[in-house]
Amino acid sequence: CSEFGDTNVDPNRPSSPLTSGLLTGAERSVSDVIGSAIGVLYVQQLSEKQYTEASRYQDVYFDFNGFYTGPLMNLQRIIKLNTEEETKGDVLSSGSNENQIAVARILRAYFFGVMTDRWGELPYTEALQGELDFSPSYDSQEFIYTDLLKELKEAADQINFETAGVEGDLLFSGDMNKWRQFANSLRMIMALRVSDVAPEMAKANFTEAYSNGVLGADFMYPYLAEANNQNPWYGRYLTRVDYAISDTMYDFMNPLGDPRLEVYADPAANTGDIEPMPYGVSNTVAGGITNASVSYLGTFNRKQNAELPIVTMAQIHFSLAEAAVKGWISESAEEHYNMAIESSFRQFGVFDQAAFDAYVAQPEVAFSSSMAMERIASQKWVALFLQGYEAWAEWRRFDYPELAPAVDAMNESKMIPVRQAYPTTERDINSENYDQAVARQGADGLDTKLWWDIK
Amino acid sequence: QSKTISGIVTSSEDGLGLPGVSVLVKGTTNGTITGIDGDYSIQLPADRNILQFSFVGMKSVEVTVGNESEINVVLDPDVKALNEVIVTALGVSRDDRSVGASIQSVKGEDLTATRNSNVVGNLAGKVAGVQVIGSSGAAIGGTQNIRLRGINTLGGGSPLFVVDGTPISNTSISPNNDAAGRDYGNLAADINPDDIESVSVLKGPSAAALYGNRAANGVIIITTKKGNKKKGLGIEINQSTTLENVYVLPEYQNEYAGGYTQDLLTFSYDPNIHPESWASFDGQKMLNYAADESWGPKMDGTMIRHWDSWLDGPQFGELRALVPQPDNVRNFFDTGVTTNTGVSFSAGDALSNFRVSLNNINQKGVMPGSELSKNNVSFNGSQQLNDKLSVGLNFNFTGTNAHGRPASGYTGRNPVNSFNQWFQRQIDMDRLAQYRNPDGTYRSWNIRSPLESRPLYWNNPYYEAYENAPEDSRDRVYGNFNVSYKLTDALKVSGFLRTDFYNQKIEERIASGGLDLDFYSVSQRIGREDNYEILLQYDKMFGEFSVTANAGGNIRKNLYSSMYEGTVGGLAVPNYYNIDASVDRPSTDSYKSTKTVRSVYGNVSVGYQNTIFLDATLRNDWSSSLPKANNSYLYPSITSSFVFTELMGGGGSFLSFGKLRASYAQVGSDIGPYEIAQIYNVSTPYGSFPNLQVPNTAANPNLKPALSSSYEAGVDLRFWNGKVNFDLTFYRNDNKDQILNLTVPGSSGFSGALVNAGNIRSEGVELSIGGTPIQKRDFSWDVSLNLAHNTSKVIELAAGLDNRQLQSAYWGMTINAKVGEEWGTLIGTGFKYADNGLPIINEDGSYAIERNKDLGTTLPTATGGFTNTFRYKNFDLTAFIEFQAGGQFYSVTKMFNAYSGLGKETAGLNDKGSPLRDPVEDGGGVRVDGALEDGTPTTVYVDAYDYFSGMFGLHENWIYDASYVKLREIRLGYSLPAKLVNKTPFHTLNVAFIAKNLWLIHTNVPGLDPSEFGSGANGYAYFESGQLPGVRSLGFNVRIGL
Repeated sequence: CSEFGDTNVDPNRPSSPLTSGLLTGAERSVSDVIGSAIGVLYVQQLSEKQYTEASRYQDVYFDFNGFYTGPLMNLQRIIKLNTEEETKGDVLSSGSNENQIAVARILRAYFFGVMTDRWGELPYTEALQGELDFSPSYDSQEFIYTDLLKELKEAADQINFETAGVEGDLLFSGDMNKWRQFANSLRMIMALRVSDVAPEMAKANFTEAYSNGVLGADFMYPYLAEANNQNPWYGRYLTRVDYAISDTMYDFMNPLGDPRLEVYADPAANTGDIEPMPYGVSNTVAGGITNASVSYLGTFNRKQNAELPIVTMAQIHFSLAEAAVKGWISESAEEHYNMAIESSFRQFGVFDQAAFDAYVAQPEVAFSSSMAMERIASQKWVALFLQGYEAWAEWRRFDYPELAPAVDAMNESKMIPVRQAYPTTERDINSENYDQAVARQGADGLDTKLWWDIK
Repeated sequence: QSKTISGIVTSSEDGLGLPGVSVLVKGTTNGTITGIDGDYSIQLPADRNILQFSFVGMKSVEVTVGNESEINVVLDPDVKALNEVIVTALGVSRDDRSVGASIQSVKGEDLTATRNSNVVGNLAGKVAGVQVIGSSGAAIGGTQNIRLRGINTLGGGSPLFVVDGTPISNTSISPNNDAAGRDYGNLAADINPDDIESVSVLKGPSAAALYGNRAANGVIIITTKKGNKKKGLGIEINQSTTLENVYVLPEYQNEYAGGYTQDLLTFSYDPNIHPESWASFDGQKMLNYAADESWGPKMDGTMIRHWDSWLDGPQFGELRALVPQPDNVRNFFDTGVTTNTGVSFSAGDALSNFRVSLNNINQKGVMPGSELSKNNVSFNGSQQLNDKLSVGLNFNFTGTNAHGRPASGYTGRNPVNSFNQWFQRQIDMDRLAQYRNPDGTYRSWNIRSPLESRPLYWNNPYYEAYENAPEDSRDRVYGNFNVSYKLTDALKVSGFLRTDFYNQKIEERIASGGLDLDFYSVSQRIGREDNYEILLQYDKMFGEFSVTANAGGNIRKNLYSSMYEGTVGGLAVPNYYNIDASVDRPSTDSYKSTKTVRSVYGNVSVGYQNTIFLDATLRNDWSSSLPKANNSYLYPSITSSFVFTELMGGGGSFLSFGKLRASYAQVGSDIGPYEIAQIYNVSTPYGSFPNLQVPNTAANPNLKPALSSSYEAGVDLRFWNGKVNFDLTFYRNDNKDQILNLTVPGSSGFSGALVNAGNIRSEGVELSIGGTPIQKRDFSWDVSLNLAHNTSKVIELAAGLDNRQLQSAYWGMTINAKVGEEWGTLIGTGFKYADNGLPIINEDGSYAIERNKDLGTTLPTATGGFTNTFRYKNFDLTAFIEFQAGGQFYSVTKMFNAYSGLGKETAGLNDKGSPLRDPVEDGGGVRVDGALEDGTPTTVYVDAYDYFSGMFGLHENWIYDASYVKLREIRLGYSLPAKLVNKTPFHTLNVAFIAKNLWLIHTNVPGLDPSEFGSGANGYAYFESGQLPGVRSLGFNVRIGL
């Protein structure tokens, strides 16, 4: 009576994995990072048009579980299947073992990097162990950053151009050289992030990563002209008009005659001009402004298949400019600064030599060694348009440009968030580890500064 | 000198003459019995004047004879007859006295008094311990959920439905809880209530052990009508026509129009963007049409441009007064019409019987454009082939087609969501009814600006109702073929082939040209369950001992398959509703599953002197879905009953019958298929790249069956020969080792893990009191009261876990299983109170909040029903009241009704006599009483918009007590007197006025019906959002016997 043969074998889902499919799944999640609106709102690149709660910091708790159970678990599984003797031979159709592992490690470092910049301490070493550990403890952000920089170095070194590149790779089509460049670029950016708190580690990693070769072109997420893989901003404007260019952004760009403004925002229906929306005002005030009188996010960035940046050349050059200012590299800070702005102009399709020359010649823009960091920070803020989490992290590091909190802020401190709180599930079901993390790091709210944010 | 009295005795059940009724002259041995048509004639001695009429299963009647010589008597069935026969597990009919577990029966006619078409809804309040969580009549056949004795599994769970021994599916095809979507009903609604002879509710696992692992939540045993010899042709016709109207709606404010500020907008002509012809409009007053809130200008009659005056058509350019439209929402709905027509044919003799019934229901709902039709054929027949062998067939077919089933929940598809949560109060429904522009495009009130007529948030509700209407159809077949052979006088063997099959197809659409991308989807679900069953039955007396024994074996096979296809990226050809029209690669899903459970079982019942009974069962199941090592599980039950009045000489005139009963039982439960092996999920592809995902739930190859144990004890008492019946039951269920998808920290890489853990303990008491306080020849009064109190407490979850979130509702409110508390703890954001109990108010006048606060539990503390039936001469009146006490729920409707300035409480005057909505500095604002952090009482006035919008997400403010009292049903009938009927081709004729949902006598949430917010597949029923309005139904019913 106990024998049921194949009755309980699931015919609907595969029981053996295709690691290229796991990689595709993980890479699609990159869109969740770069397409998110919340960081864009924190740094006031855009304003909400009607229901303005998010830009008034109403949300405190943000869920990280999806990153772990989604892309990170996929990547962890790719590494496992390519590592264990009994399975590593079965997954070679998706690329050589070492290249699959390297790509998975790079992407894992990318996701963990974004996550730790949002929440700080995270389950890291003990995370992703599945049924072996249902209560992972937290690691300090210092530990995480140290390990991520090491991971990126090792993964870049692990790439083997002699063996098959990865399959299912929608980001680089299996081009292992680009993966190495991406790993080095990411390592450079992450090193710079910790440069205030751990200057030695930052410098060593930065210079080594740079000398190993960084990206030579903007690294963009390739959205498709189809609903399943479309630009998330496109989806947000299908039925609603929730996001308009902020007065903060407008007030910075407009006086400088920044040609990118015409790309960042569409003309208002009523006037045909770019008209900003005040940032962080109450719903009543927002409701008093008619929809036809403000400028929404520019069509350039929200076409169905409009690409969105993951890492841009502008970022690379701003980073190098900053490294030059710090004396880590012996190149011209000004040159990189100008190249960064030029790269940004090119990224948004507005590059014209004469216009660019005129723009950077303005005293408020022109590189100044006495105000090097302020210049870099402000211009980087403009260039990181729609790269919300990155822009927010850099703003926290630079504390520049000076942003006033939402006038009708809903959080208790009324300050711009410098962190996001852990999902409530952690407090409920991983409470011991959660409590320890909070004890080390500080209150689990929006106002606790991260380890690297010492200024 | 004696005189001759004659007359006819009829049954109140069907109005037919009753043959074989004993007629006795009281105080003598003079008697007779009625003839085939119920006629009798008897000699009454001069010194006697009382006749007694009695019949098995009917209540006896005494008639005092005056001068008349003709006395016609109507006998009522005696529901609580002393030797009631009830249907128990395995379809075995047993004398009530031998049953040691709580089984409550309802007769078919008590379920169909008002022709409610869903058997589940009909059980509300009629059986102690049953809680029905209904859905609005506007949902045309929406899900009615049922709970027996609270909650016995973490995920809720509902009882098993068994019709004539065949288990049938009662799956709900609807989104979980009140999540956005459409409710296609629960599958038990395919049963035609007119076919039901009786319903037995086996409440605990004790009576249900023989139905196996799905009986842990109780069993609803439905016995259908069989053919028997009747007067006339054996044809019955039952027709009803009812009209339905919306009657429960929130109270709206009728002072302020749409907008965010009280100032009227002024149109200012700009030659650069406006047509030249608009120049004359310059300076005209208008509203903020793009707003979907009602914080706008006063509706004071000012001439303004309404939304439609900017659209093409004769109304273009019109200035109309800004005046209130208090009934605009009500005006949106139609008057529904339901016709329910049934015909049955039956015949029978000693060797054979058959019954065929046909039923048709046509329903036009109150939601514009919604309609449903349901056709049902059923057949019941059996034939004795010789004195040993008999065969029988039970066959039921139901075909349902519906169009435009309304959406519920927080979605643009649900017009009620707009009316009650996001709307402008001044809108004139008649203007909206014209939902197309002259060029055929759609128009909505929510235009973005005079120049841009595309709606911002909301389509026209009529567009939603008429153009986005879904289509669905379901074919359902269930029944059994059986053969039975008498081996000896005491031993019988029977075999059954049983099947239950449904095929449900649903097409949903969004028409081209509305706010959202046009869309089409088609889905199909096919469910099938086959049971192969063999049963040996033994029944013999050994002196003072009676022995009945059953032994059986069963193989159950469940097959399920589903397919879904939906367009992605819109329709390539407008309004071409086909998957071929998908602009992008359509999303598709196909699924199939099989599961087999093999069982052997048996029971032995021994009775001594018809006084003491002992009953034991044993069952072993083998389930294909459990790991092989753990897939066999055995569980017993033991019950006993003791008719103690037998020791007192068979019962006296006061206490006529008394029984004590006790039972203990276990039931094992398994899991769904395919949950124990590691697999990968296939997700949305990128171009031609497939996308695989490691599943979020860790598989567990070591699962074992869950076990529930139940203890029950009760007493049945009947007084004055059944004039008053009293039935009291205490029970406790321990539901251990539940197979639950444990929520684990996502950082492990999984969000859930299947484990055996936990214990939920349900305890309670059930009471039913019934009787016939008055029983006279011309007048009788029957009354019955059901009352139940239940607690379902979470005793333990998994090790180290003291809270499990079951589901999360809109905006962060969650329902939880929390150790030490009742199942269904609501957790959300609440007020922060000072030590003296006053809510703390922040500097800016807003309430201080406390997150993750325990806000009560969703299970009611008591449920029940109260039925009164009066009979006077040929009239009968039934009134049924149902009630519930306690249980908390969260109302999103109320939250946004206030947030968006639609609700009554958002307008009017404050305690200073100033308009609430005036600025605080002008004496307006909402008075807020509270305290400072240290408890010092304080009072502040807060701007009305800030106050009500500030309540968004403050869940505690929107938690309501779900207690209600409801006059659910009324039936006032009149049976044509025999004399008159005899002159017609009919032999019975009854006409009745029927009413459903007549009066919501009590609710703590004005404008919402707490008995109807729980539609949905999981039946958690702890919140509502965009609940469809309550519907009242009035009509007539005609029953004819031929």
